[in-house]
Amino acid sequence: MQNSPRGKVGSSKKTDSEIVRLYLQTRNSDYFQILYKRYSSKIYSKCISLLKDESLAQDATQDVFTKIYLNIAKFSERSKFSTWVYSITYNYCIDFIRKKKKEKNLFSDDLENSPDIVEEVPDQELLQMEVHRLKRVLENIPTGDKAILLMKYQDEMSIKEIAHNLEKSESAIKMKIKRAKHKAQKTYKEIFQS
Amino acid sequence: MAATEENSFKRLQEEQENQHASPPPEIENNIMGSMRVAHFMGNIVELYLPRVFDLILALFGSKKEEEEKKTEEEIDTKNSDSDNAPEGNAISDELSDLD
Repeated sequence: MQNSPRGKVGSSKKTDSEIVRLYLQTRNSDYFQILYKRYSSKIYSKCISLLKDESLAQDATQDVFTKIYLNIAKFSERSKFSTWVYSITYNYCIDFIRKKKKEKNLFSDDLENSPDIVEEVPDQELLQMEVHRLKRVLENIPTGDKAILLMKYQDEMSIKEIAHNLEKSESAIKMKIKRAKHKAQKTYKEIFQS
Repeated sequence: MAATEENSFKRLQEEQENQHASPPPEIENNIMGSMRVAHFMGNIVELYLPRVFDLILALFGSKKEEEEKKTEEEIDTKNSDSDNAPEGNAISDELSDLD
């Protein structure tokens, strides 16, 4: 009974890692369904936020879950399951936008192309911004910057995790976050203080 | 909750989740459907692949056995022919008789 997800007894109290382990042990699709119920809305809303299109977001959600299903055995529990799931989501959306725009690098503000000194924006300035204003700011900055800010402040990923996801060095990620914050602040001023 | 109140990114996430609710049920059906298909295919491969290998091995093995049998038979027939053939001494004896 303990291993039977059909009864759903206790399964809602189990951690994600426990459910992943049970799924890998039993290959019972009901365990995967529990993970789907927990994350589908979050992934879907992230996809809508990044892709700005509901039907694309629906396809993306399906593809992300297929990727999760195909790679779940590779989840090593070095990070939280949510972090792993969101990484797949961001990478999928970023790749999609990159292909659509035919850009070589969505994070185009590479270190060598950017000015060296960017003023440090305090975290509180972004974290305490009114929600509707933050939404507008995020809609008006490049998708790469938006994604990196969401990873850092919405999903609370560490610098190391973001660096791992985007296959960049930690120092490069720190600089990208700094620049993204700066762009957000500049956009805020342009929209609301002009 | 306090952390959410302090973090506008979290509040934005909650707002967006409420606004968009959940993805349409077709998506869940599609994912679960393809999962079941993949699981079924996996089971079939797991169950029958070793047997397919056995079958291939048996096929090659049986060919080999047939070849081996053939060569053995050929050797046997050769040996039996040589058993029936007159020995060298017998011929020389016959020649000496003629002399």
